[in-house]
Amino acid sequence: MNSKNLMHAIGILLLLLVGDWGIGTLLESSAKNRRYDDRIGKILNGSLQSNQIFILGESAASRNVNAEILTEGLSKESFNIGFPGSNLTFHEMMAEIILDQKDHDTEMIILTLNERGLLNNTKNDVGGLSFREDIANAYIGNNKVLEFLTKNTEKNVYLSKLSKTYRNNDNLNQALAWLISGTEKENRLNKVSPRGSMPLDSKSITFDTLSFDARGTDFNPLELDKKLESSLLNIIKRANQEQVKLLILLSPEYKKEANGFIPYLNSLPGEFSILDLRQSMLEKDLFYDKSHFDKKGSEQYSRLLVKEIEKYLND
Amino acid sequence: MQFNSFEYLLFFPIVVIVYYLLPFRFRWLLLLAASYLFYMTWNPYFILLIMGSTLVDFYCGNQMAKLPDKKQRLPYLWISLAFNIGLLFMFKYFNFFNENFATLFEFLNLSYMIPALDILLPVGISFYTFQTLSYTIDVYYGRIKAEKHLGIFALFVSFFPQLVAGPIERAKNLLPQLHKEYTFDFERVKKGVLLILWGLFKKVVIADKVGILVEVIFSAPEGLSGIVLLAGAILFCLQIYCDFSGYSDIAVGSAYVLGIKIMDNFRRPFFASSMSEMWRRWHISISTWTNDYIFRPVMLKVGSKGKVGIIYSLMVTFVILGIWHGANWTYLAFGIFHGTIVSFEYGFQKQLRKFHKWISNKKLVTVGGWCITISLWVIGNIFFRADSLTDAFYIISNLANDWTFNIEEIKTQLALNNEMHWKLFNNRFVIALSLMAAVVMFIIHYFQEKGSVRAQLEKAPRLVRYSLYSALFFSIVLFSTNSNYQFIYFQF
Repeated sequence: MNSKNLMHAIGILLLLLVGDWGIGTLLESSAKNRRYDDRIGKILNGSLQSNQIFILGESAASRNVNAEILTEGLSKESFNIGFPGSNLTFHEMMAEIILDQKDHDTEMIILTLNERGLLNNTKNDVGGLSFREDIANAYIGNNKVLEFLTKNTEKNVYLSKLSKTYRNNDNLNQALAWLISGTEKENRLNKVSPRGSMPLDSKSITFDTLSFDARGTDFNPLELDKKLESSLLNIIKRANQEQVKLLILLSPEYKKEANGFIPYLNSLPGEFSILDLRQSMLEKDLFYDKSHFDKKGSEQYSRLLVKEIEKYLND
Repeated sequence: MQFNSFEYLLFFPIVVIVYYLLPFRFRWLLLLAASYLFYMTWNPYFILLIMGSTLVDFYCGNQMAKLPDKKQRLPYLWISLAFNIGLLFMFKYFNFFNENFATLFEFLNLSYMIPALDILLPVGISFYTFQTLSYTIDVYYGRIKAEKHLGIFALFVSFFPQLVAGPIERAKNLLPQLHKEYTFDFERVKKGVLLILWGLFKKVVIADKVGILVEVIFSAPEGLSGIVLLAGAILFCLQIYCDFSGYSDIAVGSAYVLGIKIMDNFRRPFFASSMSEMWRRWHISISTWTNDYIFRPVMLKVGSKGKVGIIYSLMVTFVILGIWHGANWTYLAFGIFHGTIVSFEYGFQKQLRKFHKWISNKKLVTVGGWCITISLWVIGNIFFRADSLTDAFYIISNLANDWTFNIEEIKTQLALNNEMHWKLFNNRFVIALSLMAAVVMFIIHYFQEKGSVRAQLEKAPRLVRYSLYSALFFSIVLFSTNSNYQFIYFQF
């Protein structure tokens, strides 16, 4: 290779480096701007660090727990960061980014959980609990989020560190959507209250046919997804390290409780409490569908939670 | 290891650097080790099949070279044919035949006890067995000399750029190149790298994204309107072209960086104006292989039967070409479909020529031929892609139904499966961009048909060239999203 060719190679490398940084930055900011629900962004920029209680979990957290009522009833600033359809690994990431914040005031993490959340997705009859990469991608600029995304998807960790464009390439669709139509419109999946809750205003279309499922199931620890179990153990461990109280909340569902889940939880190592409300408030009119309360139900449930959580806070 | 993977991104530059630093006498060893390693990343045990094929064909080739008479050489040819075709049969076709015999016996109320084999299909087996078979056949006919260097021969069988999905190379072309020494040539390496980038562009930017739509349509064709089914069939043609020709470009480019020129596998097939021409432009290495090793020998046997003999030879060739792709009735139907059309073109060539003369407008003949060819190609590929013959016939018979274009209705139709719908929704703008990239690709192909685009590009100002190279590079990086899609032809 002569010096002329070497200069050409260096020239094109420089062009690629500058282009990579520029495109990557544009993708990252556009994807963030596109998001209507920016709760993760708020955690990452430190604007939620004064909260003392965080509610983590899937839709049973986001739909059922009204953080405004908890804040008022407990006189503790509470914030709901539950995301419908998210799995335990996603909750693990959320717990990590909360507890990674410098000078956070977190005293308690409430984690909603049911037995299906620990089973392999294919065995999960509600289906669809997953690591919500579609949500996490917009925040891939954060190293913790990147770490989780590369562990839980096929994204390559080394290339992500080498190229900002590659790191952000899964944001291309969102970036284009933002360029075309700006920020997402408000919808049932992104409408959050000022304290992060996502109550359901109406009834499910299947509500009329909803009936109490009295069959009951047996929780079989042999069917556990080891990766999801490891996420649960990591949440417990991290909360213990930070001396943050962890309350595992088993939410009401319009069905008979699963046998064997509490003994399993009790067998796990680490300090945490279990609040089992699975058989509370089983009034059909309060439900949206089998697994979620409607707005009225969530308010009533949150008031019940205030009374119960007080005991653990003062413990 | 896939060409569109991080592993290959590390593997290939390391091989290239060590290759040019090593003294010439050790290079074959490096390439052989690299090729075996490349293959073993899928399944380390299956390398034994490649080694077995290598040893058998090396032995047969050298034994044949010692014998002057074809008759004496014949047993060695049979050994090679039996070994390679036997391998292919056991791993690829046994379960298919076994399953169908079991069904037939059940139908006849007879007992059938042969169990299915619980084996995986070794990646690339159809490609390397055909490549090594061509070697022994050529040695048998005295077209080439037998290779005396076992290492070089092993490299011929397993050369990593074209090992798992072709192009199926001929010994006449590849073996002499493996004996030559190549020095580092910046221009050649640049050309090779650009070809790799172009291949990745077709695969990552177009094929993988268009594939999302194709998957949605072909996974549940029932109830979809004719226009959606037609769109699915057309998009599949685009997907498979970009997927397979993209793979071939990366293979040719990778070999070229190492100084080795392997054959082009595609020559802008969508500009063909007859099906025969299409097969001269599409998957050239398999169409020339089947021409040389199936069509011609069969024709020699039945040559005296004139037109009928040729049509018979064409049908045999296309049926074998169809089932070469896989043990499935859909591939057999694909072969029969194409065999019938090419036979028709051959059988009625005089009448077609007269008809073209009667039209007397060359452009109209070309455009008309193109329209018919593309339409038939789209229909043929439905057999290739459909999950079953039932699905294929359902799609074909419903193509003409319900052509009302109501975007809301199409959206509802495509939302049959939640997961698919989610995938589609999360990629909708990217898919649109991908279709625009396909238009750009066809424009480039159009200019390539007129002359060399590369030569024109070399004349352009440096800033323009560098900007285009950068755009190519960044489009690949942007579209290399989380799901690493496998190349379609790896299954063959």
